[in-house]
Formats: sequence, C-alpha cells, structure tokens
Amino acid sequence: MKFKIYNHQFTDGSGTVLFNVDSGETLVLSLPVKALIEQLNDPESEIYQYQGIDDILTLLQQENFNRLSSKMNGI
Amino acid sequence: MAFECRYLHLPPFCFEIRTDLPSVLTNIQLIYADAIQHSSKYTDYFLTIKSGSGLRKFIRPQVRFLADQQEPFKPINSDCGFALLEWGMNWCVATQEMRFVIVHAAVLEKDGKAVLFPAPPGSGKSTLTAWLAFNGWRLLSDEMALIQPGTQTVVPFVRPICLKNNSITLAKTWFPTARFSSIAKNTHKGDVIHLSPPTLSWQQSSVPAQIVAIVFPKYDKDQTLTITQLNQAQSFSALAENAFNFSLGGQAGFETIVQLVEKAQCFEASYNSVAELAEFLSEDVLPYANI
Repeated sequence: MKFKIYNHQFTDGSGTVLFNVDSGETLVLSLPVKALIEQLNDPESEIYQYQGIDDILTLLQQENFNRLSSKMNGI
Repeated sequence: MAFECRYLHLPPFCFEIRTDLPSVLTNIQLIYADAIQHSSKYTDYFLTIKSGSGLRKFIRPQVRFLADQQEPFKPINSDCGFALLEWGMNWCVATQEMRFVIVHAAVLEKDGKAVLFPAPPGSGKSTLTAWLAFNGWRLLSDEMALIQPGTQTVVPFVRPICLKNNSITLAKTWFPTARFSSIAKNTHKGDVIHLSPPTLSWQQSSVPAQIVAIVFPKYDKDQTLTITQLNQAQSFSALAENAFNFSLGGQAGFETIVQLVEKAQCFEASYNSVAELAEFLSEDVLPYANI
C-alpha cells in the first residue's frame, strides 16, 4: 500500500512533523528530518532505542522513506 | 404546545430550529435575541428539539434532538432542552463542516488581533472567555475556531458561552445584568448555563480577525500567573490535539496548522486570576504581534 507523507521542518529548529495524508496520522519529532534519515540509515543508531520507533517506521514505510530521502538530499 | 420555528442567523451558518418546548423557545428568545430571523433564504442545518414520545411525555419527561433525520444523542431530561440544542449545534458544525479547519478553542479579539485559547474541559476556558468578552475583548467563539484554510484568518461563530458548576455563580456575580439561560441541572457536564455574549460580538458577527497568538490556558487556584513559551514543535502537538478535522483536509489542513504555529506566538498559561492573564495578553503579547 502506498502512503503519501508530507513533512515540515519548523523554522525555529524545534523539530519536524510528518503527516500521513491517507491515515491522518501525524508524528512530531524533535529533530530535523535530515538527521532522522541519517539515524534511520544507521542500524546502531540510538533512535532504535526510542520507544516510538515503531510509529516512525510504520509512518515512514520504506517506499516513502526512499522518496523522502531523495527529496531531502539537497538540504 | 405546537411546533414553532425560528431561524438563527449565526454567520457563517443559518440554523432552522423547530421546537414544541416552551422553555427552549424562551431561552432562544433570550440568548439569541440579536440573531433571530423569522425567515431565511438559505439554511445550512435543519434542527428539531422536541418532547420525548410515548410515556416519556408524562413520566420523567425527556427531550430529543434531531439534525435532519439523525439523532446523535440519547434523549435527556426535558429541563436540559436548551443545553441539548447548543450541544447539537456544536455537533453539526464539528462533524459536517469542511470549509474550515476547526480547532476546539475559544477565540477573542482586541485591536484586530485574535488569540486562540484551545483547552480541554475543566481548564477554565469558558470562564476566562466570559471575563474577557465582558472586559474589552470581542468574542468570536467560545467553543470552536473556524480557520480559513491556508490563512491565519479566523471567522466568528458567535454563540453563547457555556458555563459549568462553580463558574455559574462567579459569572452571575461578575455580570449581574447579562443574559443567562435557565440552568440545566445534572447533565453529564454537571450543572450548565449559557451566557449571551455582549452586543458588540453580535454586531460584528461577520467580521473576521487575524490570529496572532495561541494560549493554552490552565486554571489552578494555587498557581499565580506562570507563562511558558512553547516552541513550534510543542505548539503543533498541542494544537493538533485540539483540531477536529485538519487531517481530513489533507495537505491544506496540515499546512494551515503548520503555518499557524510558525506565525503565531504560542504559550501555556497557568493562572488563578483572569485579570492577570488578560493584562499579560494586552501588554506583553498583542503590542508585539504583527498582523
């Protein structure tokens, strides 16, 4: 199943919000999306200790994660 | 009593209300005196508030609410007819209105600058709203902020202020000449009364305002005024919790909430004096907010 996800990085640097248009779910993270992507790419990252990691991974289904990664490459 | 019909012109909506309950009609006449019309070219919602059927007309009489042919609530004690109508009107807009991003919040405006007060029940929101509305602020809404998607513009939806339990005595002391509905006792929210806003709010019920600040109020009798500024991520989380329908609006709804928290100042306010909180807003927030 394809999800459509929007993300926004807050201008005050306080974090990122991800929004799944299809389910209406939102996830607010206190780190920029670029840092999130870097950490998810590192299997040793501390982010995998975070209790909400399942939510992140569900929201960022692999296909969307790739799309998001490529979209954020320019940052 | 035979059914009577009243049209309530409450921009941006018009409600047709039919009732066979004299107490409901009396409260409508009292609370909505500035908004009643005897006919309407268009109607958004067709509502009926009527006596229970069968034995419930005679034994512990009940009242029923219908929106078109839907009956979203169970019948309740007939003394609570006007309160049930108010909750029904809220239900209609909250569940069916998609032209606006709707936030569960009071909205008050001063000098053209609007402040949202999103808060869960029990936070003192309506008491604060009543005080501000009768002390130099214009009430746009006590219950829901109707925000035009993609903007910071909030459209008024002027309705009575719903006061509960201890707030009832307080408000009657503060505003002895104001118009209060009859009391609805022992509802699921406790004792409830509705307070008609000041004339200015009714007169300017079609005048929108720009949101410049969002304040999450929390009344605490033991807490002097304590203000905490929220960052944008915190503000988004708190605001999204109170937004009814932004996720249904897709990208436009999402971006509306995002833009709001980026452009408006956001605070948590614990207080035990509404006057102190009002002073903070008037002196430390509004003068520095740009529209």
